[in-house]
Amino acid sequence: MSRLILALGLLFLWAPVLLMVVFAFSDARQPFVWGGFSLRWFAALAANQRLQEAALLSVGIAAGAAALATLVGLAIGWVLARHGRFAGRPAFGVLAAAPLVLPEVVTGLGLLFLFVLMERHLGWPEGRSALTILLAHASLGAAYVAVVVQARLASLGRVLEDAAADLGAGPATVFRTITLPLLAPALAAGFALAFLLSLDDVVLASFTGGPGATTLPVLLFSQLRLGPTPEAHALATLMLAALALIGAGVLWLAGRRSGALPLLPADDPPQHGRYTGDAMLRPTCDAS
Amino acid sequence: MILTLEGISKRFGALTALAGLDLAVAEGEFLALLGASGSGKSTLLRIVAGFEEPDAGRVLIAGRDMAGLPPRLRPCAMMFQSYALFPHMSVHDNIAYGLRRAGQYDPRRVEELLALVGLSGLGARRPQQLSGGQQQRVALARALARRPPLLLLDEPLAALDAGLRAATGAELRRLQRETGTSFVMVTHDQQEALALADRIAILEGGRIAQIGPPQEVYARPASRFVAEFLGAANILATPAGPAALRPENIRIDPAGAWRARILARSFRGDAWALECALPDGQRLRVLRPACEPVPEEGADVTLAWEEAALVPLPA
Amino acid sequence: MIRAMAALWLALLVAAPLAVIAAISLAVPDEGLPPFRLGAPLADNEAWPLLAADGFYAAALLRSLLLAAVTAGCCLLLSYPMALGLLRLPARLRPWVVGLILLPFAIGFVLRMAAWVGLLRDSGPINAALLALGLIAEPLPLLYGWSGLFLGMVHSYLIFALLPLYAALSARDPRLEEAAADLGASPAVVFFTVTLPASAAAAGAAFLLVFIPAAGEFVVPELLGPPEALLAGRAIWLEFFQSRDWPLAAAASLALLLVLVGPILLWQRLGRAP
Repeated sequence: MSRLILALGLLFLWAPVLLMVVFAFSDARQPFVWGGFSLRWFAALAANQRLQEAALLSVGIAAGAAALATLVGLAIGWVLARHGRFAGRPAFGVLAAAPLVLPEVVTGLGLLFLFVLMERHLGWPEGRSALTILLAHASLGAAYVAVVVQARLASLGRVLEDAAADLGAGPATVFRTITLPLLAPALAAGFALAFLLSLDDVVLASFTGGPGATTLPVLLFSQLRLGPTPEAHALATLMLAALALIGAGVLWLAGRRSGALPLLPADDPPQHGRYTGDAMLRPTCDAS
Repeated sequence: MILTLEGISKRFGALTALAGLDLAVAEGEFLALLGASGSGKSTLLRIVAGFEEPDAGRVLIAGRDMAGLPPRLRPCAMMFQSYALFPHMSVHDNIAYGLRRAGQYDPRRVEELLALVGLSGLGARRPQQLSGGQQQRVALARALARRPPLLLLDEPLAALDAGLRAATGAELRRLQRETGTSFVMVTHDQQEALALADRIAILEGGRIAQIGPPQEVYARPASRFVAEFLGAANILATPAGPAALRPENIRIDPAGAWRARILARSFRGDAWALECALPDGQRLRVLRPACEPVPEEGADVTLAWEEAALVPLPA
Repeated sequence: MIRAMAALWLALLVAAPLAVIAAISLAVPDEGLPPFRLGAPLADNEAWPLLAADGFYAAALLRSLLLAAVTAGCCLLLSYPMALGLLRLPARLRPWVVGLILLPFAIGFVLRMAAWVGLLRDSGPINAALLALGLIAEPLPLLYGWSGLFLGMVHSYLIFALLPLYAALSARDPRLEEAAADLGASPAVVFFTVTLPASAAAAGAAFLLVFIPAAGEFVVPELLGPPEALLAGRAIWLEFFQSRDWPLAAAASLALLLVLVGPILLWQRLGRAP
C-alpha cells in the first residue's frame, strides 16, 4: 500500500519532468505538441546568448555565495556548538536560524532596503548587482551550513579535540588536524546545499539584483510569465542529464564506500561501534 | 611524588564535585581511584589533565605547579574512557600524533609502541576496523608514545566485554611495570581496583575516604561507607559500637552461637551467596565456597565467626 | 573573535534588514529615490492604518494562510505513506530512490513550473486528452485556476515534508513496532498506536516546514494561480515593484511575519523534541 503510494508520488513528481524531456525533442513551436523529432530547441539554446550569460552569472554567483556561506556558516555553527552560554546567546541562536524560516519576500525586501540605505549613507554597495545577490544568497546559505555544522559538531562531541590537546596540539593544530577533517563531509554537504539554493532562487535575486544582473532563474521566470517555450524544455533536459550523471556517480562512489547518501547529513563514522557507543554519549565529567 | 593534589575543590552550579581533596602519588605507582558514579572521580582526572580548572587548590606534577597550564603543556597523558581514537587517521597516525606535535616523530618509535601493545602489523588499519580490545591498546600506545611520567586512565576497561577485562587488566599492569610510568586509574569497578592497583583511594563526598594498599583497605575499612562500598560488608551493632563483618568470614557451623534462617541462596559458580536473617530481624550476607554443602532456602542454621573478623568502625 | 565576526554578519545581514523593514513601514511615501521619508511623525504614517482598514490585505493574508495550510496538508498526506514506502524498500535500493525523488527538484523549480504551465494550458496535453476522450466539451480552466495552483504548490513543496519525515521515521526504533505486534496488535493497530504517535512531532514539524514558506510564496501563484488570487507574497511584491509604495510593502511584510511567528516558534519546539 505505502509502496504503491510511493510509486504514485514518484509518478506525480516525474510526469511533468519526463514530458518536458520528451517534448524537448519535438519540432513543434508550441510546447507539449509533437511535431516530429528535432534538435532545433537545443540549437536555439546554443544560440541564445542572453540565456548563456544568465546561466554563467548564476553559476558564478552560486559558487561565490556557497563559498562565503560555507565559511560564515562554519563560524556560526562553531559558535552555536562550542561556545556554551554567553551574553546574547539566545538572540544569536534566533538570528542564526531566522533565514531558514523567514518568507523569501520578507528577506528579499529587507535586504534590498538595507542595501539602498547603505548605498545612500555609506556609498556602498554601488547599486544592485551580482555582488548584492551574492550577499543575499550567502546570508541564506550560511544559515543552512550552520545547521549542518552545528549538528555534526554536537554529534562529534569534544572528546576527540580534548584528546588532541592532551597529546600536545595547540588550538589551531587541533582545528586543522582533527576538527576540520571530521567536519569536511558536513562542509561539503553545506556547500552543495548553498550552491543549489542560490541556483534555484528567484525572489531574493529579483529584489537584490538590478537590470544589469539577471540570473538564470529570474530570466526564465520573466519569460515564463509571457508563456512557455520549448527552449525551456531543452534546458531542463540538459540539466536533468547532467545532474543525473553527477548524482549517479556520487551514489555509486558512496555505495562502494558505505552506502550512505553523501548529501544528507552523514551518520557518525563507525568509531562509535559496539564497544564505545554508550561511553561516547556519557558526559565527560561525571559530576556535571 | 609524581603527583600532588592539595585541597582541590570544584563545584558545578549547586553540585559539589570535589571538596578540598588531598592526594599524593609516588613515582612508578599504580593508584586506583574508586568511587560511585557522580563521586567526582572523572572531574578529578580532568583537573589533573588541565581540561578543568579547580575552584581552589593546587595540582603539582613532579613538583611543578600546573596552575594556568593548558593540557598540551602538562607532562601527563590521558587515556580517555571511550579511547577517543581519531577516526580519520590510521592506527599509526593516531599513535604518532603526539610525537608529531612534539617534533619527535620517528616511525621506528611507533613500531616499537605497536609491538609493546601486541599490535605489530596493524598500523595501517583505521581504528574502527579494530576490535574493542585492540582499540583500547591503541589508545594506550598513543598515550604512552611520548613517555609521559604520569598516565591518567579514565575507566580503561569499562567499554570492554566482561571476558576481556581480566586479561586486559593484567596487560595494563604489565605495561605499567615495564614502562615504569605512574598510573592513576579511575574506576567504579572494585574488583578491577583491587586486582590492579598498588594503592586504592576511595572517594566519598568529594574527598578521599580512605587510601592504602588493597588488602589493607579491604581488611580494615576506616568507615561504614568504605566497608559497604568495597566488598559489601555486613554492619553489626556490637556493644563496643558498629563493626564490619565480611560475608566470607561467616561460617555455617552447628556449634555456632548465632541462629539464623536462610532466606535466599544463589549459586555463583565459585561460591554460594546466602541472604540470612537473625531472630532479631537483622539481615546478614554470607559467602561460602561452592564445595561446601549449603542447606536449602528456608532452612534454619547456626552461624559463627571469629571475634577478630569484626572490624570496629567509627560510630 | 570568531564569535564577534559571526555576530556581526548576523547583525548586518539578518537583524538589520528586519530593523530596516520596521523603520520603513513607519515612514511616509515620498517622491524621489528611495521613495520614502524617514522621521516623519507617526501620525502621518499611512501604511499601517491602510493595512488595518483595507480588507484587501487581511483577505490576502487569510487566503495565503489557507493556501499554505491546504498545501502543507496535501504534502503531509502524500509524503507520510511515501516515507513509509521508502522504508519498506530494501536498504540497498533506498539511496537510489531518494535520488530519484531529489532529481526532479534539482532541475530547479522555475523549470518545473514551466512544465506545469505547458501541461495545464487550455491547449495543453491534459485538456487535449480529456477533449479527445469526449469527457469534457470545453477545456478545463486548469492554468490560472486554483486546481493548477495547488498542483504546482504540492509539486514544489513535497520534498520539504518528505525528507524530514523520512529521516524521522528511519531513525525510529523498529523494535517498538515488533513489540506491539508481539503483544497481539494487528498491523493497523500497530500503525495507529505506535508508529503514528511516535512520529507525531516529526509530522507536525514537516507540516510547518511546508506551511511557513508556502504562506509567503510568490512565484507559483504568479505563474499558475488565478489572477484574482491576491496572496500575501504577491501583495508585497506588487506594492514594491508596481506601486512603489515602500512603506506599505514593508508594513505588509511585517504583518506576514507577525502572523508566522507562532508557527515558527512551534516548529522550533517540535524540531527540538526527540
